[in-house]
Amino acid sequence: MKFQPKPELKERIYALLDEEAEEFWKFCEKPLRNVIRCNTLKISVEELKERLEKKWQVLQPFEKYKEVMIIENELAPGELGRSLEHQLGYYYVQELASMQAVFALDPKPMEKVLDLCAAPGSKTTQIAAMMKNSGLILANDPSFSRLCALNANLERCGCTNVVVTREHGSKLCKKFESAKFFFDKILVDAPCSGEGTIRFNPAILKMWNIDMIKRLAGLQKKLIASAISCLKPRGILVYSTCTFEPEENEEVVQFALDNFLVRLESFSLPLKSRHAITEWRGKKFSEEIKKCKRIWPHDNDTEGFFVAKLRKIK
Amino acid sequence: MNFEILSKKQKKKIEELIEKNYGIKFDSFCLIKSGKEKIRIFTGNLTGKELEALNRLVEINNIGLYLCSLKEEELRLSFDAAILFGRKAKKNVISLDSAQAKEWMQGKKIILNAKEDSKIVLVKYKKDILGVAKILNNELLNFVPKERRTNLIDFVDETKPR
Repeated sequence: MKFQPKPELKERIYALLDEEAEEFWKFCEKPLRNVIRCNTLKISVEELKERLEKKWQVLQPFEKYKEVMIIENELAPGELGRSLEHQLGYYYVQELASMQAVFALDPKPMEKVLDLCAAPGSKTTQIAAMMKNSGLILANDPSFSRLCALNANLERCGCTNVVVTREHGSKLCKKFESAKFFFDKILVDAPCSGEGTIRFNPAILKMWNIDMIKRLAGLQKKLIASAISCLKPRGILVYSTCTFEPEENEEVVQFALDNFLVRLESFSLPLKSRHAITEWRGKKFSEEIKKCKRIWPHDNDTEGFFVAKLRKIK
Repeated sequence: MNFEILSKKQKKKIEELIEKNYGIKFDSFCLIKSGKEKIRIFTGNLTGKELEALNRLVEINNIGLYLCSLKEEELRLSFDAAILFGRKAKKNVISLDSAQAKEWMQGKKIILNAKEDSKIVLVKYKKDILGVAKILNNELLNFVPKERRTNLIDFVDETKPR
């Protein structure tokens, strides 16, 4: 591996996985598979599959989500991003684990959806496709440079139902709450320490430190609390991260359960997932937390992810 | 974000121009003018008034998709709007062969064999719309955005076995 995991990270992964930790680290060294999502706003799944099969071996891993395709050939670096089909916006290069949060959100045409931490737009474009460019997506990100990537991806994918805003997430939600502008569904794909993406970006190992986890957990709690405030009664909020740290996952969800009128929903995903944990370093979480899902790289040959689905009770 | 919601009359004019130029029947929902010439299309379920209210409430950075530019009477669809809506076009479509399409996607102008009037056209290769061009002096002026150009497009030779 280009960067070695810090002993503290190794010890935390061991605490989460026990003997499986070795397999986990082995997978972290493997390159990711080439996965794309057909952009059904611009082309049908059948047409894209037919033309891609003329040059690549295409596998559709999920019966329910035919738009997801794995390219089984060995490709040159960047080849997926340089094809004509990509330049025309016929597909989006997106890792399997990253799609799961939107599958859990299950956006429907005509709904009003807030994507609070939207850039660079993989999930926003996925939501727009599932909503068939109807309803409303409000896609937010506070960073100007990340918004440029978001806007470019929205244009490339032909998304016409999106309003992009540039605000700090919690401030934005306060404004919506005060104007009584509420959403049917909200995705909080929170900024996180990102160990789930080690296979894509090994430099994560170098940046990893415990202070960052504490700082991010504070921000994540702020974001989830703000998001709940602008959710319609009975509305759905999906909280997701690409980290394995319980402080950024189960603890944030527990904070939401303890402080707001929300409950966890059961949901199914097309990838193999595991229950969230109910205890970490002496802290006990509610049994209900088991409804959240952990996606481990060595279970599906993917990146790692955490997904929670909450419903506002009142 | 500074923008202006187009009135019914202004919207109708754009729709008529798109139909006149390309034969595409177009029900465009909400059209927004941003900048001097840029028109954006928004299909979200907010009315123009609701969008304006939202703009007063939060910092809007972008709305919908860049549909076209309109300079005097010359309407030019954007690259992505052309791909999104262009397959329905019934006129002013120029078809390229594979060598021309490759050059086109590299950002090069294409010299036409037959004499054509000066106008804006959709550029097509097989089923794909590859954006728009302006025909001028028997050349297709290339409007493929720089970030979407590529030298590495692999046009599959369908006669070759897989």
